[in-house]
Amino acid sequence: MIDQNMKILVVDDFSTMRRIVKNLLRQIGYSNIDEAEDGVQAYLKLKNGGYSFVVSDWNMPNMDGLDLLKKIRSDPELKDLPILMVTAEAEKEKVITAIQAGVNNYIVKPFTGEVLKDKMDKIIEKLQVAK
Amino acid sequence: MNDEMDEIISEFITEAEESLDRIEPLFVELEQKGEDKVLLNDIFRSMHTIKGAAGFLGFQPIVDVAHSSENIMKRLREGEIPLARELMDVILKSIDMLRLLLAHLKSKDGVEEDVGPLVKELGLALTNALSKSGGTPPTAHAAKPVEPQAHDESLPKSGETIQHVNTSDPICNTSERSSDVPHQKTATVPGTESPEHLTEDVKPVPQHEENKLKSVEQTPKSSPQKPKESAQNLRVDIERIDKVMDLAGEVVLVRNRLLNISHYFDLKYANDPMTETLMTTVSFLDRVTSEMQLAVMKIRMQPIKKVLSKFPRLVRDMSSSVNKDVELIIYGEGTEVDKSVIEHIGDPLTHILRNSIDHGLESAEERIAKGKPPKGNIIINIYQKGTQIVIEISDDGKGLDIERLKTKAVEKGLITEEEAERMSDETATEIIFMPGFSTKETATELSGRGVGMDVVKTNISLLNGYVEVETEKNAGTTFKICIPLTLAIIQALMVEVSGAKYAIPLSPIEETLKVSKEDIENVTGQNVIVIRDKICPLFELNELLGTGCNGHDDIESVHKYLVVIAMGDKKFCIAVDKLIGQEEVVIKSLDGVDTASSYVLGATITGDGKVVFILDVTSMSRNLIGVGKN
Repeated sequence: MIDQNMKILVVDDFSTMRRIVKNLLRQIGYSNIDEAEDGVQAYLKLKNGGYSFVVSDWNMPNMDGLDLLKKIRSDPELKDLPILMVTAEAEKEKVITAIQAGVNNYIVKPFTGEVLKDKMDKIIEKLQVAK
Repeated sequence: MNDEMDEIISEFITEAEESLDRIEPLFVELEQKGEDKVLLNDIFRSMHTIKGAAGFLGFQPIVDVAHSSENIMKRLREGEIPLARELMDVILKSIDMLRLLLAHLKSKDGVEEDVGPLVKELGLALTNALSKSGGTPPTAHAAKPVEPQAHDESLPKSGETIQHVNTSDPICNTSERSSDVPHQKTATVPGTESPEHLTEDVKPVPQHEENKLKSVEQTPKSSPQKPKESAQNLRVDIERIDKVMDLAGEVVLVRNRLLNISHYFDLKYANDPMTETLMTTVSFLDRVTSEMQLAVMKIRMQPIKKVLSKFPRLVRDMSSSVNKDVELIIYGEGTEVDKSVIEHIGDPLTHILRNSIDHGLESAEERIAKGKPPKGNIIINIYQKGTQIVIEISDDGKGLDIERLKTKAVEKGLITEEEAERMSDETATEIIFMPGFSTKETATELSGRGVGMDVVKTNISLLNGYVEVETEKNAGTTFKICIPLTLAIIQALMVEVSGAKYAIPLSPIEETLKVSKEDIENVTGQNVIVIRDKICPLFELNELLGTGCNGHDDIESVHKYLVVIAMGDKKFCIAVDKLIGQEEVVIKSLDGVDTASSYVLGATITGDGKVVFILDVTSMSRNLIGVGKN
């Protein structure tokens, strides 16, 4: 079962993008959404706990999505947190770097709510199977 | 949902414009510094972000332009092509196009720009740069716009599909895909070139335990400790702020009324203990209201940097087209000013800047001949002085040629020869602001466009400010603009004429006089008064406003009250029936009223609850004495 009330953190430096992603998340039934505008802020929020899912942009100032991902994976408290990476284009190299760093899946802009739901469902199902 | 969409779009426009404002000066910096990775990255990221969001919103032309431009940025960042002026020009063109596209979105005019030629040009520039540098030949996609993508199942770059990665678990597919990754070394992610990744075999690393090895010290160098600052920002619709501003204004007005009333009670019931309580309460309200007013004002304040960001680019473009080497130095770009100042100061500043480059600075040869460094300097200095914002634009050029100004003004019939002779040098500098002085004929393509410096003055007057010129031959010219910190609340002198009250902004008032009607003289049809041996033109407020009453009906009164207005070093008097006193007024703008011809700046509600017009003395002075005699 997927918990529609899980707390999701949307990370993007462009506020319009955060809003778009939040909107899409709402469309597919998630309403408990918080946002952060770069990796540094996101990490601070995540450290405070309570988040079950991260949707993060790649390109950001201060700390980009990849570094956030690495930081989360190397943090004993957060390492199992599912992360969906948003990229503007699926450059192979980048995707591979992200996969190496332990991203759960990635999604290419622009995407629809359905695609987002599909990706998220897959990640969550997989994690539940693993448990 | 539609409202939501509108809001998102308008947010996108604002944010994208802000991004462009921010990166535009970086280009010029980049050109000066050479290939600076940090700068390139910054620019690249902004383009990328705009593209990403535009993709969601279906603004394909924006996506196309940003994408083509970003392609070049990417190659630059990866050092595949050198930074050349031609590339910079075309990238700057793409910025202009993005601005234009955003402007169309903003005005909802439905105009569609054909971005095809520009996209082609961008592609071509990249191709040329690549072939020059002997880099990898560009793929066809560089020149053609990306196909619209409704879903994420295709690769925008190479057109290759990565469907199986997308739809299944990416981790399982990594190893089989690793074989066809030719350019892994170029996998440059901003600030994160972790060496392990470049050498390491591509292998799935789903186990987080392994990642522990790459521990926290891997934090990139590009993560400064300033997240708090930006984290505390809140983006609020300007209408909401203006609403609060408006309400705060109303509270100020009510406070003024309450002060009036409480003073009445204080006089009448001085012995009643409740009066004292009332007075204390009202004085507390008074204090808090003043503080609130200031706080609300501050919400609207923004760093003036926003306006200045386009200037390095402007100077760059202009200096090359007039063939002058110009250095622009800006101080105090962090100075905060009211939003409306930000909106209206751009054009005047641009105009002055163009003027300084075009007319102020000499050519390199001329400068060398004068023993000056060949590079001309323009310094913009912004600071707050009391309740005013001061903006100085100085050049170290040839200075204004006072005699030529006078001759030209006489030729154009703006002033008479006697006037020219009498004019002090200081006054003569004002000639450049006279309507009709600088015309197409005298201005070059750059500073020209048929509008003169008088527009500068008008725009600054709209902000209740004024502009002064200081000039010294061969040393340079300085334009000094002074603008009040806020436009919404001003100190005013309340006057009365023919039974109606008016408010005159206090700042340009030099003094008030009580004179006998006999002191008023008439020189060639113009009423004048002698103040301390100086002749000063006098105007009846009634006549100026065309109220229909001429003020002379009040025959009993032998006295007149004069308000002496000083604008720069010019003075004139406005005759009124009564001076009432000083009051703090909140300016409410009047829609549909032409302030320049009606001499009305706005309206306010006074302490006794009456609506009163606020007079626009700046346009009065311009119309009455700025253009000589009427």
